[in-house]
Amino acid sequence: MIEVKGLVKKYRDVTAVNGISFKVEKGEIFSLLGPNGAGKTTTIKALLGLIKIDGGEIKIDGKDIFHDGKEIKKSIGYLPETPSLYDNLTALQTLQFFADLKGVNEDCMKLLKEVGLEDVANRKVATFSKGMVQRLALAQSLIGKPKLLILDEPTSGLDAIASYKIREKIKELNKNGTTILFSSHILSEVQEISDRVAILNKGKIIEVDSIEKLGKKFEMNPRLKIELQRPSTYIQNFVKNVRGVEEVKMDKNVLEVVCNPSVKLNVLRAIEEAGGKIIDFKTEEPSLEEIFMKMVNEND
Amino acid sequence: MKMIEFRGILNIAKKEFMDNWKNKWIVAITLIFLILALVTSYFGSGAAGWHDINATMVTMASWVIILISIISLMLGYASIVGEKEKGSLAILLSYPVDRDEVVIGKFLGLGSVVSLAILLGFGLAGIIIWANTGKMNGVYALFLVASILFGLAYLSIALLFSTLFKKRSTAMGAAIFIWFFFVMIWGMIILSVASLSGERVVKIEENTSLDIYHDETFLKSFSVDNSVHSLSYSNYSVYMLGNYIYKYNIMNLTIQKIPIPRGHYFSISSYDDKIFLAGNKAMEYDVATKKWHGFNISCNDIVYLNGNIFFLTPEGLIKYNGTDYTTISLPFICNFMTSGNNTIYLIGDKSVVEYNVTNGTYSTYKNEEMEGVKDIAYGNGILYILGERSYKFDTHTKDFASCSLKGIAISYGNGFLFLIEKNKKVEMGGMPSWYYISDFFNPVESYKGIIDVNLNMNMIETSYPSYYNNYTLILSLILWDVIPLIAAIYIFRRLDI
Repeated sequence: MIEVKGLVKKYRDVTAVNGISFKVEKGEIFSLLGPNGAGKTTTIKALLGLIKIDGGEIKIDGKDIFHDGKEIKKSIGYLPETPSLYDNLTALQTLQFFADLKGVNEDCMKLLKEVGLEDVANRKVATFSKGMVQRLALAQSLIGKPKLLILDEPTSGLDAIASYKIREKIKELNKNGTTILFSSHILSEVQEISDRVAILNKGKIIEVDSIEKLGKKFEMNPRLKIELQRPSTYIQNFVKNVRGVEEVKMDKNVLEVVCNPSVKLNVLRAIEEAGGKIIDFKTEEPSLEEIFMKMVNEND
Repeated sequence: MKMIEFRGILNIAKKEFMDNWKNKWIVAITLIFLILALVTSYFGSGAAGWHDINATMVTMASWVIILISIISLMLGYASIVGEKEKGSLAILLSYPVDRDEVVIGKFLGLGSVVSLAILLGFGLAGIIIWANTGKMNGVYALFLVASILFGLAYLSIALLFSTLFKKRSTAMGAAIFIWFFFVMIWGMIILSVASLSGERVVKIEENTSLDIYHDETFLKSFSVDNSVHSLSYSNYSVYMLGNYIYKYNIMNLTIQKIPIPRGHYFSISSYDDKIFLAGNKAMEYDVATKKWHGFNISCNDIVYLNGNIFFLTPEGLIKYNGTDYTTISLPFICNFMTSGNNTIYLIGDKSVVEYNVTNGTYSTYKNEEMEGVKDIAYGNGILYILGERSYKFDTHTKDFASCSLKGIAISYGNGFLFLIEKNKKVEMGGMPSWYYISDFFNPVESYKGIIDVNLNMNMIETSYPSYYNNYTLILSLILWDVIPLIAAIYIFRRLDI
C-alpha cells in the first residue's frame, strides 16, 4: 500500500527526516511511534505530498505521490494532529464541502451520526469544543470510504473516553478492510491497536517490527504491581495462565505482572477469581525514553 | 500531469464565499460604504440636498481607495498563511485538488465577497441617489466595475503576501504596510522625488490652482503655473493666461503652451479658435493658423460678440467691427466685462451694467455691498461676480445673491465653472496608476492629463499626451489583479504546508 524509500526532509539546516524506509501492507494497522520531534508528522506530510522532499521515494498503491497526487488522494483519508476546520461553516456544510472536493456522493448526515455529531449538524464549527472538532475532522477523513487512512496523533489532547472511542473506531474501520497508518507518542496506544510499528527517533527509524516481537524484545509491556492481602503461589500460577501475561513475580506481598496492556483488567479479575484480595495496585509503564535508550544502545 | 479542474476551483470558491461573506468586519465596512455614499451624495459639497451621481462619484472615489483596499487586504492576507497556521490547509490539500486550483478558487471566492460588498454598498447607494435625484449615469456602472477591479487588485496582492510570508502576523504587517504605503505615503514620496529632480518643483503652499465646479458644486482642483491670472473657456478648451497661454483641452486631454508676444496682459477671452488678450496692447491670436494680430489699443478687458471686438478702456467701450472703431460711452469707468446673449455685462462703481449690443442701450443695477471685484463670468442666465464677497446676478430677475465662490479669475463653459485661485493647497504628486480612479470618473469627461501637467507644466513645449485614459486604467487594474495572483500561485506550488 505504502512504500517509502530513503525519505529525507530538511528544514533549513535541520534534518527532520533522515533516510526513512518502510512498507505498509494492505489491510494492516501500521503505526509510527516516537517522541515529539522524531519526524512522524514530517513523514506523514511527505506521504500526502504536503511538503517537498529532499531525497527518497514515496509510492502509494504503486504511484508516485508527487506525480499522481490527485489520483492517489481520491482514496486517502487524513486526520492531522490537532485539526482545524472552517469556523463559519456548519458541521454539515464542512462535510459537504469536502465530499464535493473529493467528488463523491456522501451521506454526510450518516457520517455525522457515526461520530456522534448529528445533533450539532447545523451549528457553526466556531462553537465546537476541541473534541467535537476532532470528531468532525475524523468524519471528514472517512468521506468516500478511503482505502488508506492516515491519522496523525489521533488521540492527542483528548480525554480518556474520547481516545478510547477513537481507538475503537480505528479497529472497526480496519476490520472493514481499511489500511491504517497512524502516529503516536503513547506506547500503550500503539501496542493496543497496531499490527506493526516503526519506532522513530531523531529522524531515523530505529526498528520496524510486529508489536509482539518488539514488546518482548524491549520489555515494552506495562508492569502491574498488585499489593495483596494474602499472596500465594496459587494466585501466582493462576495469573500466569491468563492470556497475554508474560511474566509473574512475587516480592513479599506484591505481585508483579508483565502483560499486554489490553489484558490488564483480566489479570485483576483472575486474582479475585483465585480468591486473592487486592489492597492496592499501580501500573508502571516503561517510558518511551527508556525504550529508546535501550534501542539506541542495542543498535550501537 | 497537471490539469486544473474547474470543479475544484468552484468548490474552493464556494467554500471561501460561505466562510467569509458573513464576516462581521466585511458587513461593517459594507455598511460604511453605503452610509458614505449616501452622506456624500447628500452633503457632498457644501449645501445639503441630494447631489447627482457625478458629484457623488468624484468624492466617493477617494473612499473607494481607502475602504476597498482595507476589505481586500483583510480578507486576503490570512487566507493561506492563516489556514496553514491553523492546520486546515493540510486537510484541504489531502484532497484531490490541485494547489493552483486552491489559490484561484480562493481568489474567486474572496473576490466575490469583495464584489458583493461593493455592489451592495455602492449599488444600493446608487439606487437611492437615483430615486432622489432622478439622474443616473452609465459611468456609475463603470465606476462599480473599476472599483471591483481595484478591490481584486488588492486581494491579489494580499494573497501573494499570504503565500510569501510564513507567519500570519508577518503577512498582516505587510498588508498594513502596503495599505499605508499606497494610500498614504506614496504621494509624499513622489512629491519629494519630484522636488529633488529640480525642474519639477511644485510648492504645495503657494499654488495657483484651477478649480472646477459643476452647478457651484466643487469637483476638483489642479495646480497650474503660478503665473496664471486670467482664464477663458471656448470650444472645449480652458485658456489660462500667465507667462504663456496654457490651452487645456478637456476632450482630448492635451495641454498646449502658446508663447505670447512681449507685453503686459491683464485678461484673456476667447471665441471659437480665436483668443483675445487685453493689456498695454490688445492682441488677437488664431489657434488654427497660429497667427498673432495686434491692435493699437490699450485696454482693461476684451470681448468678442456677434462679429465685433469690444475693448474696455477708461474712456469707454470701443467697438471694432473689422474696419471701423466706434466708442460707446459708459455712465462710469468700468473694469471688467464679459459677454452673453447679445449683451455685454460690465462692472464699475459697485454696479452691474448691461449693454444691449443690438439696440445700443444700457441699464445699471447697483449693489452697495459689492467690493473688490476680481473677475466676472456669464453662464446660463447668471452673471457670476468674483470679489471680496462674491455675488450671483440673475439676469432675468435682476437680483443679487451672495455665493461662496473664491478666486481671482472665473470663466463659464458647458455647465462648468472654472476658477483660478491663488495660494491654494492642492493635492499633488503621483499615486500608483489605480489612484487615478478618482480622476477617471470625473464629469468633465476625463481630465487626467492635467495631473501630469502639475509636475511637468514648466517643461511642456507644445503638446502633452495624456498617460491615462479609461482603457489604460482598466488594463492596468487588470494587470494588478493578475500579476500578483500568478506570483502567489507560483510560490504556493512550492510551499511546505
